[in-house]
Amino acid sequence: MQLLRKHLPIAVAFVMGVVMFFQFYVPTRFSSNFLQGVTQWDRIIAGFALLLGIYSLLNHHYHKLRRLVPGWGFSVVVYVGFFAMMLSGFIWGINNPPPETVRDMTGVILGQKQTQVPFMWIYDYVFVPMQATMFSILAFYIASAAYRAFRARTKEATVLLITAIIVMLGRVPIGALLIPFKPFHGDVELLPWFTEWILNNPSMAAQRGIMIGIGLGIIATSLRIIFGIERTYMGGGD
Amino acid sequence: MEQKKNWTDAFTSLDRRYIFVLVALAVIIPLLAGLKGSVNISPSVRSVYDYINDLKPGDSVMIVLDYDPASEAELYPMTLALYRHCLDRQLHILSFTMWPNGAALTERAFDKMKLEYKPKGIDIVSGVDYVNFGYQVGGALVIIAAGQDLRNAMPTDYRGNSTGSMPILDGINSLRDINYVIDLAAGSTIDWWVAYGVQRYHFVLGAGCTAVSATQYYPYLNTGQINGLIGGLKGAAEYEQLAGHPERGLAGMTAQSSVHALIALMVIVANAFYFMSGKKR
Repeated sequence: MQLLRKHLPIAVAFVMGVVMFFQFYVPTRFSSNFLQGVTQWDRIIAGFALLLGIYSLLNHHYHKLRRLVPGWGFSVVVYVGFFAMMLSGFIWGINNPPPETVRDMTGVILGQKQTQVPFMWIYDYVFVPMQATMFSILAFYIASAAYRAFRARTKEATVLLITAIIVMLGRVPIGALLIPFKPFHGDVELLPWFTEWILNNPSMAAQRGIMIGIGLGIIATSLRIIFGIERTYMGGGD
Repeated sequence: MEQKKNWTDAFTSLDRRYIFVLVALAVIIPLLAGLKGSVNISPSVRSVYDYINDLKPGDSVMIVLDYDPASEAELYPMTLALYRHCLDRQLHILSFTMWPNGAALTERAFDKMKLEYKPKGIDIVSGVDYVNFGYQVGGALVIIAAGQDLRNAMPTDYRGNSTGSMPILDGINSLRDINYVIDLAAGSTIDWWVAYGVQRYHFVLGAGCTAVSATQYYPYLNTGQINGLIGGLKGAAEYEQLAGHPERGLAGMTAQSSVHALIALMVIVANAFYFMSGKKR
């Protein structure tokens, strides 16, 4: 059991890690075909992960329904939504027919009409507005949070606050209208110009530092996995 | 003194519902008024536009829709603006998504283009003028697979037709043969395209993203790993203006302007009351 649960995954991770590392530096036809094969394998495995996700979601909500835990009604919605989308796709397909030309009695073209299959209708008129609504609610919370919490309590907070206001106004057309002055005889107004400067200099420098840090972290974690030091991917938190 | 403190405190701890109403009005009124202004064109958007504009009719552009309806408000106008520009220039469009919920958005965008261009006497045909490969599973591996062999990586399109004999793919074997690739991303897929695509297969990449994540990609822009960046609804509006198709992006600019101005004003007012209340001391 130890062999299957521990030693085999570590051996597979080590062999594949080392082989794929060297593959990158070997520009031969065999190496290229090998990469293609491995990529296909990986994508097939990723496909099964989707199935696992579906099973996990339905199983989680099945248990909520069986125990009638508070909020079990939302689990009903999950099941109804899941099967409504799935069945409408299986029964009527997921592709809209081509647009039809609409003509009047005399044959003059009035326009184009798009008929929708149920799957696309649900997607367009239920799913898209719901997801967009969830995301747009953020604007209200951000506005409220900015009003309540964005205070110039320290020097650092003051710099952040001024920068945020400049970027907020500089990224929309009203920024150019508020201060029409164009610095350095250019053709861009002060706030949009200053916003671009902030994004291209201090912000980019910070981003670059973060990216280099992430890159080094990825290399370190990859080496730890390849050499069997990092084993949390096998589960159990070891 | 006590009375002054009371009213400044009342303003600093204003009921959030008043703020919600103000934000709602700031969005709704400009949209109902139907105002469409103009925007300053940023160099990063212009480079995407110029690159596409300089391509020859029949060249191929891969536009990858890596987002779902949550980011539809920002990235869908961008998608349509790019599609319109490519169709106006008679370029071939190849699209797919690495987000499961983005596949239908891609198909919807092509359906919309068919409706728009049919009255102009232009029939947009799948497999000839465009191809929608649909959802591609595997994340970054999709990029590597397409870089090795595009047909093998995406053997069928969204409708299940074999891509093997599609005229649009004549002369295209991998990402290296595509004239321009643009990733419209709500997540971190632009990082994948740079690391596993551009660095490995050496094609020209442009990017579009939500406004909140635009700052992340300036280092790539600076190093030339992406040749241009369309950021948020403002970027979409800039592209619409450049391409001569003023649509949802430009219409949304007035609403976005008023909300940004409102939030900036609220932050300034809240800080003024904060200092007046004497809490700073």
